[in-house]
Amino acid sequence: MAENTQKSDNSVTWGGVVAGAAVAAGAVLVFPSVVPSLAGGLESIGEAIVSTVTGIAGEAAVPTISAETARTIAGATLLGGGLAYLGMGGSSKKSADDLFDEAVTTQDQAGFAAREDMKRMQALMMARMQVANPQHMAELAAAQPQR
Amino acid sequence: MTTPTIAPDEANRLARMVMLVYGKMDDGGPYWSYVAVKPSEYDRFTAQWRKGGLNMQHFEKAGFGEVVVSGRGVIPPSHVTKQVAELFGGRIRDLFGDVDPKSLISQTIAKLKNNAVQS
Repeated sequence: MAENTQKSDNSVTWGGVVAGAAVAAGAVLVFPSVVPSLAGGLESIGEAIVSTVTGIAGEAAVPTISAETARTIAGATLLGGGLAYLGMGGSSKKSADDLFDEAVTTQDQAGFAAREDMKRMQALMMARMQVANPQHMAELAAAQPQR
Repeated sequence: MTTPTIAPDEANRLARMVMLVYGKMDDGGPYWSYVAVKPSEYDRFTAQWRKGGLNMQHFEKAGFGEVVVSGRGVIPPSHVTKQVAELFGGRIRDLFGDVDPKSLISQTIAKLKNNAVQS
């Protein structure tokens, strides 16, 4: 990727290597990915990657909610509004509120599950990094300021 | 189950091994980098970092694949990992699993081709 596609905020550089990064101490497999169908007339996953990270690099570095969370929130709103319109279960206002509360609870549970998945994944990531190069990880730990 | 043989060009066109590379910056601080390694280059990539000869500044020129994102720190921020997972169609719970990537990619491509023939 050309260097002009890179964009970095204070912490990450999309589409390129952060300046100053040198020899790799270790590498762990995240997961193997197969992309059978590629949109936009792209011929290969390589081109798809370049196109996508270029797009990400070109956007302002602002945090966004995930697409899944956005859909859950939208779904909760539509669910409450839709079933109330159909007149299901008691007064339409109470039914919509109850349904919305249930949908929000479901969203909270999904959010909790997602956070737990993330914690487990990060623990596994550290464990794999430790196995790949224990000396490097020990040096990093030793370099941490003592509390 | 025997692993089907997939032509290297086809595997490189359709698949990548998403890897987390890490090491030290020139100034001694840690860095991390998510990269997409071509299946045909996986063995060469693995051999090179194991013998200490993988300089990330030359990753793409060496033909290993693409650098997706990188940054300072011991591990990537969680929002970056999530974005990379979404980029490659993976789920958080599937990341860093103990799998044979080359076999899995070959089997997945063979299955896709079989499904395409039958449809």
